[in-house]
Amino acid sequence: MNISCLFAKRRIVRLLDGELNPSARDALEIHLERCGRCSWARDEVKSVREIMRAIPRVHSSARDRAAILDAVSRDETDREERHFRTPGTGVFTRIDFVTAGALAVGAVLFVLVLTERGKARLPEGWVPSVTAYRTAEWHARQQGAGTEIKQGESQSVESPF
Amino acid sequence: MKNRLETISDQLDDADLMRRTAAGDRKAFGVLVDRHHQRALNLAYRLSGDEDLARDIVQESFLRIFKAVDRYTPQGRFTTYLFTVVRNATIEFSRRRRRRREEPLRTSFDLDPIPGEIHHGVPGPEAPDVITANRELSDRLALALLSLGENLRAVFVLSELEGLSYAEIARICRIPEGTVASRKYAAIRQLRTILSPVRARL
Repeated sequence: MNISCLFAKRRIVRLLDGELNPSARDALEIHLERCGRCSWARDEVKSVREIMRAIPRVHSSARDRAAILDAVSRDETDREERHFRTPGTGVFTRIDFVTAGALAVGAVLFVLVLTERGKARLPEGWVPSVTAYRTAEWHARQQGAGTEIKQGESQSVESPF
Repeated sequence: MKNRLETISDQLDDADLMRRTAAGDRKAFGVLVDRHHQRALNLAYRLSGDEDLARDIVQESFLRIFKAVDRYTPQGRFTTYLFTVVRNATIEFSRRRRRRREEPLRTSFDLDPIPGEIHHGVPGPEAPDVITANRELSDRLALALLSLGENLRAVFVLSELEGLSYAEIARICRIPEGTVASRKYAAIRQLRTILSPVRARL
């Protein structure tokens, strides 16, 4: 296969890098043997490559590598903290449970206190119907009437609201 | 003397080490860092032209890899993946630096000393003027490389200085293999022009 000089020059780098298929490589090598200009171009490319290999290098140190592992470790810690602060995960879940528990206990205590207040102090009509029913029942028991108070009676208690 | 765990880690390939890291084995990641830090640092340095910046870039790159370790799927060599991350980080850092109008990266072909401790190999028993000449040469080469555009420089460094195949470079730079070849050819032509005074003196 005959190839042009332009075609050959553009493939010199590929040839030197071993990136040409065998047939293209053979054709190019034949051309380079015959063409002085193209073989000179190949030598120029080789020369530039060789010179550029003398470019300075920086050396990795144990301190650099340790700094990376420290950064990784810090990131891991931060991530864990963020994870726990995110709703629905980690510590936040635990905090949620504690908060929910405290709220539940608070609610029970509130109801109990309200009931006690209802029993002891609140005047009739100022308490919710269930409490009013229980209050009335309590009063009845205190008075020793022994009569059963029906649900309907408590419902008749009017609320000032 | 290495302990047994280190010996085992040394025998594992990069994909295994990444799997172990994903499973929570931090030592496996340490082995990966030890194994590839040097190459990543050189790549970052050659792409950015700044030693301190290169160290930051490499640290950031390894951190990114660690953060994304769960999503890592081995496709080709680990170095291809690492170099992709390093290259992207280099582009980002360089742009950020330019935006902040910090000290500009050296892009001209001036002969000024390169700051920082750059090792130019073991000097050996050469005369001081030879050492100075070598230093001057390597400085000129570094600056010649920096005078290439970002895309040409990346292809040249990955191919010529890191020895990657065109297929790997194509994957890293997200370009077709034919473009890798043409960019490398363009890079060498530019370097030939830039280095002609240097070559004339050699």
